[in-house]
Amino acid sequence: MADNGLNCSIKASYEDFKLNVSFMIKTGELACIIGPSGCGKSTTLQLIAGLIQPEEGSIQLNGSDITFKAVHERQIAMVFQDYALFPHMNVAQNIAYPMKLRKINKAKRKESINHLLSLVSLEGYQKRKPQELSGGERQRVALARALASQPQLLLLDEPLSALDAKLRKHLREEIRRIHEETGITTVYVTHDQEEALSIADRIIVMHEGNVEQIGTGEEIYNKPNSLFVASFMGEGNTLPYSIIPRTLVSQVGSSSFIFKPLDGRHTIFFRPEDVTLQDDAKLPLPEFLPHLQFKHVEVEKIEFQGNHYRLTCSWEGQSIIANATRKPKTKIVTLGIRIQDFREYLDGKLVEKHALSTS
Amino acid sequence: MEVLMNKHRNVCAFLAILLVSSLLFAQGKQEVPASKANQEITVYAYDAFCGDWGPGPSIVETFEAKTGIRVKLVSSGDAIEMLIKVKSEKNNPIADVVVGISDDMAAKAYEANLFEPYASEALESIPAFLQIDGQHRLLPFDYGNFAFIVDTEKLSKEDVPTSLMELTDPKYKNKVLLIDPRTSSVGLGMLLWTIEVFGEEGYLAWWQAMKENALTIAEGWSSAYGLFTEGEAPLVLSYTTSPVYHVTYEETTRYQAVLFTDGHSTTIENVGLLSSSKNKEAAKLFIDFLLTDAQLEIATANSMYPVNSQTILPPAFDWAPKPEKSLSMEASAIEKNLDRWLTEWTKVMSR
Amino acid sequence: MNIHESGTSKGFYKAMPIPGAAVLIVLFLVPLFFTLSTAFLTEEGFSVSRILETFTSSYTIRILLFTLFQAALSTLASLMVALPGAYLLANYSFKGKRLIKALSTVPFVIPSILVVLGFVIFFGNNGFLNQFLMKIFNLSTPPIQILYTFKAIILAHTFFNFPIIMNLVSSYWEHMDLHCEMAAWTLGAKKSKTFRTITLPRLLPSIISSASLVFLFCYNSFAIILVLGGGPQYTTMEVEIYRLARMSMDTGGAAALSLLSIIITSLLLIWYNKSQKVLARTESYTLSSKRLEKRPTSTLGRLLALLYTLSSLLFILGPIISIVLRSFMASSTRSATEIFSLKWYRQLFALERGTGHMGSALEALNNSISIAALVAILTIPVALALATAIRKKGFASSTLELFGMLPMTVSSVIIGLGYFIISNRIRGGVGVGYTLVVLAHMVIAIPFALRTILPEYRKIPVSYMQSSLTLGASPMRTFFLIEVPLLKGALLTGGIFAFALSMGEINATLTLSNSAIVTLPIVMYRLIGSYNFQGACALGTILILVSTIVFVVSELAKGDSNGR
Repeated sequence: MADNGLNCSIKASYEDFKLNVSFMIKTGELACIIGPSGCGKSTTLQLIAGLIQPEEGSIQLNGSDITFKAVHERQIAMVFQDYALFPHMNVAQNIAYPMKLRKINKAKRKESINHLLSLVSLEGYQKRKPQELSGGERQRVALARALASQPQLLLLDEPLSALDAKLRKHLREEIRRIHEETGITTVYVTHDQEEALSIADRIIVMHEGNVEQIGTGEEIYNKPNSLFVASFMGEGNTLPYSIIPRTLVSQVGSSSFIFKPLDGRHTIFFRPEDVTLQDDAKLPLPEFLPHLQFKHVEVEKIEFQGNHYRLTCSWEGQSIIANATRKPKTKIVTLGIRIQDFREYLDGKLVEKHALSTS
Repeated sequence: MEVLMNKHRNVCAFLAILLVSSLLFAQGKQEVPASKANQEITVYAYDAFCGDWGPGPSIVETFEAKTGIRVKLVSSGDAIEMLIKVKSEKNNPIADVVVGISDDMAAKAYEANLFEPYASEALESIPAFLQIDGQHRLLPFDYGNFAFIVDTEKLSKEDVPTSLMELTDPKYKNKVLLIDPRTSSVGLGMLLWTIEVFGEEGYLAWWQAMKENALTIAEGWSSAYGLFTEGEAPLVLSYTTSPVYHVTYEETTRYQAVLFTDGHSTTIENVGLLSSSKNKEAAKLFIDFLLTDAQLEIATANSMYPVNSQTILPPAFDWAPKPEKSLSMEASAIEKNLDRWLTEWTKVMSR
Repeated sequence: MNIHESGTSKGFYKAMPIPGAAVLIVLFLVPLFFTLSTAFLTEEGFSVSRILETFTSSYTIRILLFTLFQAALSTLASLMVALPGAYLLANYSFKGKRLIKALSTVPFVIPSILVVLGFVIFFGNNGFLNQFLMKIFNLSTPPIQILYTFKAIILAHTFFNFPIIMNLVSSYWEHMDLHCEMAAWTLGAKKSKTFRTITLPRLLPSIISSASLVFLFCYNSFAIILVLGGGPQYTTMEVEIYRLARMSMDTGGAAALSLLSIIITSLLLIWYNKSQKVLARTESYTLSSKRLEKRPTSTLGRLLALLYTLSSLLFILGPIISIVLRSFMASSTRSATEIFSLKWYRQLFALERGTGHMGSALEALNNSISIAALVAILTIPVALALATAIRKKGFASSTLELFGMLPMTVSSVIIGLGYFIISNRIRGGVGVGYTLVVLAHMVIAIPFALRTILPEYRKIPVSYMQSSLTLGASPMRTFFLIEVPLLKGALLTGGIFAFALSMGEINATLTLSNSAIVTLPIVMYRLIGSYNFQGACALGTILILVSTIVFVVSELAKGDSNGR
């Protein structure tokens, strides 16, 4: 379809697993494939790289069909989970490897190596050996090496999963920065939704071999089209649709909500940060009408998270997670959620909310 | 890319050079002797015969000088391997003469129908008891008697056994080195010796009794004799002519052959003319030579007795006593029963 | 995911096993087939009666069981002696380490007859050890009487074989990282427990690899068992095959027995291979910093290390030193005390070439070295190519692996018979004989090289190769730039083994060259056959010297190439 970027539509099956993915990425984008372990994201990368053959389908890159091209001819560079730095070469030699293959002369190679090392903030590391480097350093060398091959597409297979949180945060920003500087189309696989949300232009959510949803971070976070995506992309509360009548509070006199339960597992879903907390009977509840109000909620656990408190609460046997900016004063509180802040799902799939008439 | 090509190129070049030079080198070893005549014969002989320390090379040299006939001496392992080889080459014969078929293998040789009768004139000087084949398909060229050699420094004169039976006496516990008849022709000779002395009814009992006295039953003469000279045991099965080597090359009479009252089994080594030979005349000349002029060399180099009674032996041979009784067995009898004997022997000895 | 499933790499990888397979087929399978087929021929023509007879006879079963038993026991004993040594070599640095490693490969090179002699000279009732002990402690009878018993068989097998295990396992161990062990320690496991439950299982691929080699060696052992065992109660399959083939000239019977052997050992090999693969999957390459090489610090540790070193030196060096010493001792007569003398060496090299192309010692030395070098150089790439093909998963690769190990399961007598057939069909000059000999040696060497290369190869993560491909290197380039350099150590070891095996080989050389080519072992046998044992010892000493030099050089080369 599109003349540019990565256009991928492939099917493959293995012993216990069927893969069926179809997506498109624009040139220069940084796309993230995200999903739980075993959903097929690494497999997808390997299919794109040509390390495995699909059963059906095709892959186009920048206008040409690469479905049957040999791995080494695809100009797709990949950074592996274990970085795969060649132990018998030092950093400079590792980075020089793809350049030597392309017969780039020595002087130019040296220049490129220096440039790439400073790009990944590892100046002066030329002579070091992979064994002497820390995890983060290896990752960056692997990245530099991949970039040295001047690929049309860059694949990163969970590049940060082996690193500590702070380093992860720092490095993903680095990756974003490098991406912006080089402009190379990048596909980045991760299971960490925070990572994906923070750096990706486009997110592809995968589940059990299929693509669940494609979109920007906001689209996916705010409008997940399935319960799976919803709960995968962040914390949330899933409650049965049937609680609505008991909790709905609407403006007097308006029929703001049509309660229409559907056949099947009909649920609602909302995020903890959208929950409002009322813990002091003396204070008026900020009324955002209409909303669902949960009375006599017992706060079971309070966790300090730095910039908010994470409350685990219990209401009529259901568990509700709420994020509060301040610590609740009482054990029994009232929680509320605005109508527009929750989504409805039938058997896990997003369904349109039954309209509220604005009044 | 250049790196790879260079490496590749270098390796290939190196390999090629190595291969070519080794082939050339190998070729270079082959002698191209000037030949007076066009004739050449190929002689198969067992390995020890062909080696530098065997009689082969000098015999060949003398023969070539004398007759101008080139001789290609080829070693093919031991006598048995030689026979197998010749048999397998039946349809594609290479050899003209085969040297070293011993009398216990004779039946197999006849069976294979390989040899052509040749009644050499030299046979007149050879005692009848050595001529095992009436048809002269196999002609003897040396012979020996099996005997036990004693280390006189380890066993005093009074203790030296005088018969096979005496060897089973408990005083020789762990003092005797025997050889396995399944894996060695010398060992086989020993087996036949015991059958010749004790008969089929009694030989197994002797072996049974020897189980205690044998330090070990080696897989071949080399090992057994090696152990003997290393001093592991004072008695070893060998030939009456073994002391000749020590006297000649080591100037010692420490190792001496023991004569038994039972008599000694003989082993006769034979030479044969292959029916498939294309150079029969030249081959016959070689055989004649073997039975006459070459006899002294054979005897001294092989440490065996010459068959030609006219041969004058050096004094060292005084130390190779001639037994009064020479025992032997019919080739056909061996052929018929060998397998059964070996099986019985194994059964008895492995309990 | 398997890298080899990718489209165009198939061509390159498909070609890999061809040279190795070619050598094995021409120089092994074909002659083997011809020889084994005689088992199916009786007077009535094709029939399985002979086979059934042999397979079901209780006598056969008995010797088969004994053969398996002594091989298993020998292997176990070799493991027990080798593993502590492997531990020392892998984890500590100490003076003379390289020398020990080099010397330990020497037993391979010496023909078995000399092994036997060496053993006797050293451990015999009249041997050096006993004489020494008797002098020191003023004893009248030799205190150590182990020869000519079943124990001696095990002992000799261990002497001969434990170095293989020690070398292979220590190389593998050196490259293993300690993370799992460290994890275990933090979990509260004592060092000894960690060793048993963590390290040992991780070492299993190399242990099984080398143990299976040793097992096969001991299975086919011949001279050692008969001479040092003391008698026919220790008959093995090889002895029986030998007897049938040569004494009774019953090729069919020998072939039938051999077939049984091949089947049994192949089954064992298959089992070994399966367990190998499962275990290797869990191990991966280490990138961790060079293993801390420490010296034993505690006095107990030092003492144990010293004790082990001394006793293993005794093991390895005792018989070898005996041979060497013997070659330098001569007396004017047998009865006088022996003094240091170069007599035997002078004798050897004074000899001129005979007219029968039989060659002198110098020529034999030349031949041996050149053939061995050629064999080593050729075996390395061929075995590597085979290993590459085997590394693929799937039915074909296991078959290939078994195929590559097959030469070791077959009795040398049977193979020898097969060589007769080849040498009959192929006429040619010395050059042809030379080529055939080299190829035949390769047949023996390939299983060994495979055994050293495969465990290391399996440890290289697939991601390295995949990475190289994505960086733009074709499968062939990847092979030469990534896989080969990482295997340097294993390749070198495999090459050295090939060299050693070739130096010590005698059967094929004799048969295939129609004895036109003379090598050291051949001359050695001739010397022994002519009463000249000490001359043989002298030649053996030269053999030992050459091998030691080669092995030391290779150890040094390996050290340099350790760019890890």
